[in-house]
Amino acid sequence: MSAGGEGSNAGHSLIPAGAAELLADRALVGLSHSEQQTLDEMGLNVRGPFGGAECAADEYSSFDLTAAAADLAMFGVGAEALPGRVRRALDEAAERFVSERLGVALISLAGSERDDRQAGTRSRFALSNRLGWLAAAAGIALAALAWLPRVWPGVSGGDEMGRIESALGSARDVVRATWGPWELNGEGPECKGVSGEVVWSDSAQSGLMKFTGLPANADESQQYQLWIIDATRGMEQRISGGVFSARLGTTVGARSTAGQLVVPIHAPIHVNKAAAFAITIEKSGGTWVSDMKRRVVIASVK
Amino acid sequence: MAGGEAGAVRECIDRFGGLVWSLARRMTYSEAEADDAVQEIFVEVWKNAGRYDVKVASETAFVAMIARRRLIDRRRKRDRQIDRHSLPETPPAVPDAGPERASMVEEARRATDAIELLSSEQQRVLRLSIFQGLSHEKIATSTGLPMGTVKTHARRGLMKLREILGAQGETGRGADISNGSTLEAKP
Repeated sequence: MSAGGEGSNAGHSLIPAGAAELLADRALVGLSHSEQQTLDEMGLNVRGPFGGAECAADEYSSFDLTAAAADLAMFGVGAEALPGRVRRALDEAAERFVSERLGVALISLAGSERDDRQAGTRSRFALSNRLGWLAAAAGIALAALAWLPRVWPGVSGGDEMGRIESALGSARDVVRATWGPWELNGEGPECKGVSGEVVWSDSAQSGLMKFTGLPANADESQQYQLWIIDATRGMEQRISGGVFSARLGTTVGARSTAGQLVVPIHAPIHVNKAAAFAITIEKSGGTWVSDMKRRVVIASVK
Repeated sequence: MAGGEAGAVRECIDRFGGLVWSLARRMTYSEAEADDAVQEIFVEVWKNAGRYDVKVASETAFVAMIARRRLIDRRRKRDRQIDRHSLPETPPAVPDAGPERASMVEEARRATDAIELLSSEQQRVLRLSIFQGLSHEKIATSTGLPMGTVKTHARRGLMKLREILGAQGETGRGADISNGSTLEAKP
């Protein structure tokens, strides 16, 4: 939790004098409507559990985190198991949550043109039939609070792609960046001969990745992962843009046309100013901390 | 998980179900209310998973923070809705002893050390306040302390804890990540 002090004596604290007591009250017992108004008038956006939409666990919510840490210290993490009825209700809630996020259909990228011809159309799977696959693909070991890299949501590949293309078509800040081999410390990328481009709009927070020559996943245990480097955050705080498969995996909204793989981008958090996009190979489901050893391509926004 | 990954969503329940349930049980007035609160909390956690930052807190504290925030809000709302006279005037017994130190996540260990630095009165008021989110008024009734004193102890106690934990810097933050955790850090 963030360091800080008491009110105006907080040194580097950003908390205005007088607000600290209210923030402490809020973390312990909550605030009345008038107290909340007082905080609002101080210019503190602290209505949400994180102190507002733009500040994750910041100076303000550090009071909440302190109370939570004290709670854990005083009373532990809870030894009681969830009652069966609660667990069942939660499982249902989880399914609803996932359904809402993923949409109602997924498109198999295993469908090469040959497969498409055999099927007569793109392969589609009802979400309910894909949950098992998703769980496996995610790899339970990959959870993360920001946790799991995003699996692209969308109703269907065509709809999703159309929506993104439409958004990009009307955006005035669309940038195009060409994929190039990602070399680091004199070492080349794991995959050579990959080309294509990234099309992205900061204002639309949407984009597309196009690849030619991207090898199919060797097996289901690994996937490609997109990293977005935000100029305002830097490389160290690169954003995981999600995972996708070039063959065996399933990526919502992606398509394979004439040998070119096109994958939609949905940043999980707001990208202020995209500076570069990079692809690594990671374990299936992705990782939140990549050692960047298995690099593929990188595209810098000029 | 912010993207709604099914495996992660369920595993989140596996990992934090006990914690959230325990918090809900003691900070709500009935099992039925706790049932509802647990669902609300988990949905809130799933929705906000993308905001987690390992540099700020452990995952356990992050989940506990969301749970507490939601439960405190529910409690205030409930207190406004129901007949105040039907509420217990004194809190149920608050456990004297904390959890076994060995079972704590690192963050809680640091908090335990920090709590020791508070005055005994601050510790007492904070325990009552944190246990159920009881109002200052109820704590004053329960302890016989003047309301102003309760407020002062609660506020200064928490601010002091925050200052101590903050001063300890980054060390130990997110320590439960490495404790067999399946949750990985945000880059």
